Parts: sequence; structure tokens; C-alpha cells
Amino acid sequence: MDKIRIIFVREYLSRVKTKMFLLSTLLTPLGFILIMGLSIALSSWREDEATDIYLEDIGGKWEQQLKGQRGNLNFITDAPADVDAWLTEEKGRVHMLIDSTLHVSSPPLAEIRSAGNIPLSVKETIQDTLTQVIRQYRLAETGISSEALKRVNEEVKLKTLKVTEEGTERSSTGLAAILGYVMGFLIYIFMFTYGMIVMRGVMEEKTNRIVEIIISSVRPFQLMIGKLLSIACVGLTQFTIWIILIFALSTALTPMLGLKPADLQKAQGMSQGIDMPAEAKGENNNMMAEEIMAGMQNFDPMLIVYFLFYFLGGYLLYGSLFAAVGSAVDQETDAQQLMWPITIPLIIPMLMLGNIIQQPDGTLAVFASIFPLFSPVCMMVRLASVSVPWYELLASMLSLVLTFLAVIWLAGRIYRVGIFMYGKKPSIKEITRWIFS
Amino acid sequence: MNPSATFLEIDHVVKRYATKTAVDAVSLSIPSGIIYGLLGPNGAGKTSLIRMITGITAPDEGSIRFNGATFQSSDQHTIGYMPEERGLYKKMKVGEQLIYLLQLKGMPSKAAAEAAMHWMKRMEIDSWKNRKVTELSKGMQQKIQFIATIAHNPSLLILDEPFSGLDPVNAKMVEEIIHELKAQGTTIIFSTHRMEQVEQLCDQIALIHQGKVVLQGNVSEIRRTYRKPIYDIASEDSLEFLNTLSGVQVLRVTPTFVRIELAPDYDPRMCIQELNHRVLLTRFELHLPSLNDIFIELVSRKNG
Repeated sequence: MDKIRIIFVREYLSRVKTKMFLLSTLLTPLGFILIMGLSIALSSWREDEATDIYLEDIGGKWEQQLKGQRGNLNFITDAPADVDAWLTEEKGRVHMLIDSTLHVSSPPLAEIRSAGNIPLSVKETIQDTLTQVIRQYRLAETGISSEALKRVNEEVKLKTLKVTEEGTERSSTGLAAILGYVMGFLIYIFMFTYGMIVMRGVMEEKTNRIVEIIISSVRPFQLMIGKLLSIACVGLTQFTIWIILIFALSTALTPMLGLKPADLQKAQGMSQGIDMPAEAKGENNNMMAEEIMAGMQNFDPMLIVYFLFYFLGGYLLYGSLFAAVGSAVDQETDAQQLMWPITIPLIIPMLMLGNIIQQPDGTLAVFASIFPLFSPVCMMVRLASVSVPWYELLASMLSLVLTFLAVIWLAGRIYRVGIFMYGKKPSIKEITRWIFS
Repeated sequence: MNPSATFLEIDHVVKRYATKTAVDAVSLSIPSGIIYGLLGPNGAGKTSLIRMITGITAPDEGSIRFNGATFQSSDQHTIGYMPEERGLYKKMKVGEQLIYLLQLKGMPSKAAAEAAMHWMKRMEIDSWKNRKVTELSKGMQQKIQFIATIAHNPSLLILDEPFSGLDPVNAKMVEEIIHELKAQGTTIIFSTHRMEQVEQLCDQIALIHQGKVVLQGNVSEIRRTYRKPIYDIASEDSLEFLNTLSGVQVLRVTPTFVRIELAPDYDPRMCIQELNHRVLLTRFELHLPSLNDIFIELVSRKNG
């Protein structure tokens, strides 16, 4: 034990005391925010420029109504001297020809022309705009007011409540799904990155040739365990710093956003609904923010405990496998080829995330959250979004613990032989033989 | 400790790898307080044998005993091992690295720091204490490795090619320390494929070839046992007539001496008489075979 402690301390300090550690600890959350912000910005990014449409409205029946619609269309009614020349003059110009009988045919049919291909978004906007105009016209024909239509089209909003042993509390399905996704994704990223750090550490000792000196003082298993545990603690140190940072930032930022505790109380009583109709989004932005704040207040602190458990369990399982791969090769290029048996089970849960978020209590989700190679990611998603029965949680945790113990033993067998193998890259068959040698 | 007592007893040790037997029924008994040479070409099985002595690997058959007791993991603390392929943590400071390696040998951190400092001063590298290993030359790194091997006062010191990469000044420093440690009672196993190095240094040797011990014993006794009637002679007069003498074969002519081999039945005293008739001899000396010569002869005899 004493040897493991000495190794642990060195491995830990040699990683934490570097400038790189400080830099990556501070920059990773920034990078995360940047990536998230960027993806939101990119997905909500709209072309600002209005499409010029030469509207040839024979009879002039629709002109006024079309111009009154929302949508990024700029209708021109003054006929150009040469329509085709006008279309080719500047990219993106459209010529639309309609007549007064547009509303008669079923379905109504209009025609647009342009010099190049019309972008899908422009086509859809034109289509929506025309549909809207025809719909209003037909409604007016039947004597239904647009007010009445609005009421007919209204969607039901669901206020989701969660019944627990302590009583009924409000839940936020949408927020929970997002939280589950983020936590599952984080576990995946951490298992991968810290696993790679373990692999590099093992390879470094091997290519440095210091491993033989160390192994003449300690058992290979002690060296591997000391390294695994120290890198886990490096990860935990990073978490702690991040949690403190997030806490400090949110405490500092809440008053700046002008949200008083009273607002949060109010938000708690509000109805839920993440899937709002598109047109309602803008008006409901404020409500969303309040809801997120309310969701954060409602955050179950046990989730952090589960997160740490599944991070550690998954990391020990995959990290020891990465250690075994690192011990078997001398070069990173060789490592790539031996890594696929590890990376595939790591990636599969990521492919299941969508399904699990949709049906957190489905058969696939339950299986994946108990199967130890997938459970770190999959169970985390479920835990964040639904209340998992205690026996499923127990089965998942137990199978993870038993598996990582077995895998560490297995990896130790490979490691013990691998660290003295230089030169030729071993095949998976050879590595299997080391286990039983 | 009784200096003549057997310190390390290696009994019919076998180590097999997938494709070959690296160590094939090797038995050695090494007395305490001597320098024992483990000689043989690259790939003879020296490193495999050493790894079993240091407890890095376990023998497939046979046993290794220290002072009569079988190897235990706590015995690792009493061994200092400098492997042939050696390395250090590149980004770690010299002082910290030494303390770490000594702690792994079971020293408390304070004692480790003191021992590291003592030996860094002794080897004149105390000014590098806070330098990182990457900043140092290969020879400098080797000194650090040497300190890491000896500073915990091991009772068994195993050095695999300790002089490779050292300049003459540092090689001499290492050699002096090896002699000092021997005087203090440390048993030293010295492994090398450069046999000429060991002749002066080792008290006893074992020649290893293809996993087997082909010869072991005291260096001077071995050389006497394997001597042949080969003599180096010199004179200020011309020695060109030597070729014409019956029972004399000239092996080699150098500017300073001529090496001859006498026929088995030709008494060297008769030869000296014969030569004295013709020239004034300034040298007539028995040439003892080098370990290298003996090794080559043994191996070729075996293969032939």
C-alpha cells in the first residue's frame, strides 16, 4: 500500500503541478461554452437578406395581402423591362406568377422562376406565405375569423409533476433530458480523455525505459493502480475546480441578470413546456430563462454523487484497458490499431443516447444502463431524466464494480508482460496469451 | 556477514519464452562481498537471469535464494539494479526524481533526500539538483541512474553494462565507488558483453552462452587453466629466424614483440636456451588467454 501511495503522489503532483493542467482546467469550460454557444448560434442563424420577388399578380388580387405577411420576402410589383435579364442580373432573384383564381384550384398551384436553383429555405418561405394568404382568404369565405382559428389551432401545454415518496414536486421533462444528455456526454468525454492520459503515461514510462527501474522496486500491478488512481484524482480535482467556478460564476451573475430570488419562486409555480410552437419562441424567451433557473433550483444533488460514481467506475474500467494497450506498444501509431476493442464499446452508448432520452424506461435503456460497458453513460442519462427503480440502480452499480475489478485484474496481467515487450507490435491473440501466461 | 558464505544461490533456474529458452538450467553460487562478472554476448540470457534475481520476473523452474531464504518482495529493497536500457522521467527534476526512486526502495522521504544529496555531492552533480532531466547529457543522466541504484545501500548491486556511455573520467569515478562498496561488503554482479572490461574488475565470473553457463570460477584461475604454450618475446636483435625453428610457430609480429606458440612437447626452457644462443632476449613472457579468447574457443569447440 505504501508503494502505491508513493507512486500515487508522484503521478498526481507531476500532472497537477504543470501549467498545462491549470490552463486546460480553466480553458475547458470556456471551450465548452464556446462550442455550445457556437452550435446554438449556427443552428439559429438565418439569412438576413430579403429575397427579391417580382410579383406578377394578374388581377392584383393578392398583392396587398402578400405584402402584409411576415417572412423575409421583398415583393416588387413594377415590372422590369426584361424579366429574364432582371433574373440573371443578380443572384437569388425570383419571379412569381399568380392570378386571381389561385384559391380556386385544389391544391392551389403557383409558379416561381429564377436564374439558378432556388434555395430550399426561400422556397419554403414563399410556400408558407402563399399558404397563409390562401388560408385567410378561404376562412374569410366561410366566415371564420382568424381569432377563432387561433383558438382552434392552440396546443395543449402539459405541466409535468413528479410523484416521489416525499410528495409531489414539479419536474421538467425537457430540462431533465438536456441535463441527462449533457451528463452522459461528459462521462463519455472524461472516460475517453482520462483513459488516453493513462495510456500515454504508461507508454511514456515504457519508451523512457524507466519502467524496468521502477519494476525492480515495486510490483507492476502497484505501478498500474497507483497511476490509475492518481489520474482519477487529477480528474476529480478538475471537477472540483469546475464546480467551484460554476458556483462562483452563477452567484456572481445571478444579480447581474436581474433575477431576484422572488422571481425564482414565481418561476417554480409556472407551467412547463420546452416544445413550444415556433412562433411562440420569441415571446417566451423570458419564460424559458425563468424556467431554467427554476430547474436549477430543483436540481437533485444526488445526481452529482451518481455522476462521480459512474465517472470513477467507467474510468477505472476503460482506464485500465487503456493502460493495458499502452503497455503493449511502443508507439502511438501502433496503439491506434489496438484501441478499437476499447473505443467501440465506448462509442456505442453515444449512438443510443437519442433513444434513451426519448424512452428512458424502455427495454433498450434499461439494458444499456445495467450492462457495465455502457452503464456509465446510459445510466447517467436515465438518472437525470427519470427516477430509476432502486433495484436497477443496484444491479447497474454492482455489475460495474464487479466488471472493473475483473478488468483491472485482466489489464494487470497484460500490463505485467507488455511493459517488457519492445519492438514488434503484438497481435490481439498474443495479448490474450499474456493474460493466461 | 561471513564474507566467504554464499550470498546468492541460483539453483537450476529455467526461464522460457514463447519461442526460446532464455535461461536453461543455470546454477550459480555467488559469495558475499565480491564482484561477480556475468559475461556473454548479447542475447545470451544475462538480462533474463538478472530479471529473475531482481524479482521482476519469476523463474519457470528452479529457485533463487538469498542467504538461504527464498526470494520475497521485501528483498527488492536490498537490491540495487541498474538495467542496461535505462531511463528517467524526462520532465522531473533531478533531486525529486532521486528521492522518488529511493522512496520506492523503501527509504523514508527524509533519509532519501539526505542520501540523494550526499551522493550528488560525491559525484559532483549537486548543482543539477533542480534541473530537469531533459536538460542533461546522456553521461550526466547515467550518473543520476547510478546514484538511484546505490544510494539506498543495497547489499546486492546489479549493474548491467554500467560503463557504456560514460567518459573515462566518469567511468573511473564509478569504478572507484564500485570498489568502495565492495570494501563495505556489498556483493556486486556486473553484467557485460565486453569481457576485457571485467578481467581487472571481477573476482569471479560466469560465462553464459545461449542460456547456459559454459564456464565459471576465479578469473586468474580460469586464465591459467586455459593457457596454451604461447609466449611474447622481444629482442633488440632480429628475430626473423624464428620461422625456421622447428616446434615454433609465429602467431603475430608487432613492432615491440613477436608472439609464438611452442609445440606441446617443446619445453620453454629449451626454447629460451636456443634463443639465448642467437640473440639477447629482452622479453620472454607467458601469454595468458583473455576471457574473450577463452569464450570464443569454448563456443567454437561446442559448435564444432
